[in-house]
Amino acid sequence: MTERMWNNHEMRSSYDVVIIGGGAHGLATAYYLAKNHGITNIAVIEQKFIGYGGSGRNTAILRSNYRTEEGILFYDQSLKLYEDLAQELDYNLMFSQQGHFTLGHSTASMQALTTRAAYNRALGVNSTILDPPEIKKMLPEIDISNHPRYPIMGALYHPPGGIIRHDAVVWSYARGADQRGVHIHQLTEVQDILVENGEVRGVKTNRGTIHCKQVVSCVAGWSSEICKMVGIKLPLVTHPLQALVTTDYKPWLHHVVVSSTLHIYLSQTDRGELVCGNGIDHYPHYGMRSTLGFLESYAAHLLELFPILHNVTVQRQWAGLCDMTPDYSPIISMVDDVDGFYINCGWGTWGFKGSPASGWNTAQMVAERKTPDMIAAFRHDRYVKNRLVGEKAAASVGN
Amino acid sequence: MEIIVPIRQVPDVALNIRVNEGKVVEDGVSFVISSWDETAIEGALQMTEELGGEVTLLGIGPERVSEALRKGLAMGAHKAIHVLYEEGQTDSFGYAKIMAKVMEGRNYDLILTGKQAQDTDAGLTASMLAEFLDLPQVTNIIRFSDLAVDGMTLYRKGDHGTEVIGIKLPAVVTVNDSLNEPRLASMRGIMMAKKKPMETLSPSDLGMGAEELGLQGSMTEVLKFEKPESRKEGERFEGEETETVPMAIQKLVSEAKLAV
Repeated sequence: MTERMWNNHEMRSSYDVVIIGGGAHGLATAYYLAKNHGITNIAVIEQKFIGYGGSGRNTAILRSNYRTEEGILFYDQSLKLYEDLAQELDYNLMFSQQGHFTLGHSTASMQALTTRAAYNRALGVNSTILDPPEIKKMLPEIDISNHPRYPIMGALYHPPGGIIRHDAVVWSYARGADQRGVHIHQLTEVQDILVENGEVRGVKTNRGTIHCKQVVSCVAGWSSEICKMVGIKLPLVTHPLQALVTTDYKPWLHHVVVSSTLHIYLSQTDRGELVCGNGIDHYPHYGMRSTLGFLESYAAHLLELFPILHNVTVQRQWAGLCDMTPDYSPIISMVDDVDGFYINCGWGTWGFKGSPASGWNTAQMVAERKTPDMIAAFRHDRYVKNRLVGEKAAASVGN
Repeated sequence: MEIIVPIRQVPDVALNIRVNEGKVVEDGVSFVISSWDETAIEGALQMTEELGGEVTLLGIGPERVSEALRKGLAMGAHKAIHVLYEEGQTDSFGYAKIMAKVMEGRNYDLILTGKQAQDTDAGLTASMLAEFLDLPQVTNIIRFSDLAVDGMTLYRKGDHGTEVIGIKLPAVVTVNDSLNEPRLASMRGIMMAKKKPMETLSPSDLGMGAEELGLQGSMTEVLKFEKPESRKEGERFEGEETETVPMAIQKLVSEAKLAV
């Protein structure tokens, strides 16, 4: 008999917790609710299939070299959870901690990177500044001459950063949750959230109504739509982000390389393809279209860094949606006016790397009905209280 | 050898095409080069690589068509002609007429294109173009050999085998997708495409008036599009094979009326 990674179940008329969104965040939340808190009567509702959204569309880069104390500690927890995840979930996630370069092309960016390195080290995260000859030793193919438009002046090097197989993360969290009794309902669309007297009562879906007292929204780009159902307005703007993958080549790039100024990041997978991502498209949009303009600008910038890549051919391009927040930090929050409703969104371009810590802390928040210290800074009302967690300078690309 | 490759930009069929009130919804749709035309570009590039000469792409339609042309240039084509106009509803006859006008006074040895467009599947434009230009034509080729500037041997896929045809150039030839595997654009190719010559023409530049364009210049009219009916959801049997196989057979007999 074929063993299934996760099973289809009849939808129950009630669950203890309903999680909307079957991406890495929703599935990790379900998994940690079951594993850490013994809450297993959970439904994960996914309108398409699990991993359809950002979890299956990102470029799978992991790192924790953020800028603020809140950001650094949160992503450090996430990276540490990732380090043990393959063993914990008994699934080869192909996590390669190959080191992560953020290149600096100006005096201002070098100052910012130097500050980040100092903050990182103060909080126990391994980050250091390298000069161009040191970069060249580790990335022999990179052009460190002063010929390009944006010569390389140095880099923030973050040894624990790396890449992982993103689909495997989604599948293994799904399997781990399923094994503990969580129901995953794919092709199920949430149409409304039922609230009475300021308390969550259930979720209306295209397959019937589910009664529950706790609902977690983990729907990234569609968060504004879900939160509108309970009358919450979020400061999110959704932008597409495009990426591409080349045909496969023998291994030559052994580290993740990011240039904020050139709006590019790239890594080489175990299969040999280069996975290349860009900044967000400049216009807010829900369309996941690939454009020629992206290809053209990406090619120009990539060849500036690595002129040897001129004959590399592009196999495929795609796009995903990014729910951008004003301060480039996520929103993980209880909602004062709607008891039992939890928001997990605003993951912009930094969501995949935060998935384990996001799931871990969201699960704790749901189980204990109070905000864990680790995510206290990420409440949704920080925007009206002017307590932003500014991470824009630490975003991979200029955006 | 000078080759002109007419290409068509079509909605990406890998994405979900939506139909609203009998019309295809363009919002959110990605457009790509029709796959048979990509094969034609590759075929033309191989021919010019062997004999020298240039590949000129020809695209007809709104601004977005220039993207398809630039993608073809990124593959290695040398230059492009864009007949820029909001085509509205134009049929194969209408397109062939415009193409024939574009060809007037141009120097070419071969017109090579896909056997049909991926969106309409009509497969008429090239034949009509050959008629307008009074040129020989061979359709649906899967191979070429004995390449020379004045002729070549073509292998045409027929219903019951392959026809081997000698043809004198200039001619109009359409390609089957088994002719080749189109190359992917390289990073350098993508960048160089931006600098390659693209000639933009309007229908009036070609001396064509409104009566020759769009629906007026067409001989047929598409009244509406209908989405194919979605398939009925299948049934999955899970468990031990000793139980599930008899259950599946039982269903096939009782519902699909399969004789056992």
